Amino acid sequence: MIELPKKYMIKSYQKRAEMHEQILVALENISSSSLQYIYIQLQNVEAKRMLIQELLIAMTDGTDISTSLIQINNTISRATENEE
Amino acid sequence: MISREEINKSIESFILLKRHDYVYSLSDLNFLFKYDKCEDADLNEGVVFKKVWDMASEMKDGIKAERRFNGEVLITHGGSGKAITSAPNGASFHIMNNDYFCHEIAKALTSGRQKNNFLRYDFGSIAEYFYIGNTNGLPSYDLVISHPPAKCRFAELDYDEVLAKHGEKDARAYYAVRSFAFVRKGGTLMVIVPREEYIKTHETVVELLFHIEGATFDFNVPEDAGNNYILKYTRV
Repeated sequence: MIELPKKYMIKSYQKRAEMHEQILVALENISSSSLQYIYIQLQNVEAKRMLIQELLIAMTDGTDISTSLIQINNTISRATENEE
Repeated sequence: MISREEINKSIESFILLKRHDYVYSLSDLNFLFKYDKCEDADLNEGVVFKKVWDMASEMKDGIKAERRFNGEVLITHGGSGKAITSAPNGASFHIMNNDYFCHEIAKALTSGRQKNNFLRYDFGSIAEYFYIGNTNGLPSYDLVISHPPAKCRFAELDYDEVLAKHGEKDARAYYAVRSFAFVRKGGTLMVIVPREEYIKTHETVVELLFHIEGATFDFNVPEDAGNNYILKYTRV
């Protein structure tokens, strides 16, 4: 389980809900052809929740969602290639 | 005379400023106990949770004579941890909290139970499992205890439009229905609701559960627990 940063957890309820909403809009636009490794992650509920938490951490640090998504997709891609 | 608001603020400052590895003293715990902004602040532990655990002792995982419950339990809205402080030994808990101060207070006030129970604390809401549609691999529990709020923005983000709409106007019914998704076969969901709302909530929950889950559940007559009622649904 990912440890969420205190900086995120102490944000107001409203602010956190807004962050979730922004992430969901970004994830809903992902297709199997654009960010395929993230698309695969979204097929499992625990992996999906972990991905959302990773994005929340990145957003809290000031990274924009699309940059984070590309970085995560590349990381999973490299990890998958190494496994193969 | 210090006002309630000042006490709450002072507790919040204490939590924010304490070191990560700080060890609470007994007087710290007594101080944290005074925080009254968590969801379970108005619940009478000796009435409501006594009733919850009495009802749970009659489940297959409960051993009434030894005051044990050998199952896995999800607490969807952990509050300050009242559900756990009065729990029988043996139960393995996953405690979710969507408020940082209550999350920290629940950890502090229930850490003493760790020699008799496994405790996993998780910051977030069960609504997160129902974003974007897919729910493959949802964790399951023998008992799910929920004390949902009347309003919750996270409930409105559900992928199912019917439930998202319900989440917007009645988060209690929303969380009751979504909590049931975590109940394994033969397991039970108990929902704590205010006395004045229990009939309406129960009717909505039954209707929505039938819509989402079909005929996979059974329910009991709601149980009176002081100012609250306990709604009980079993997965058959």
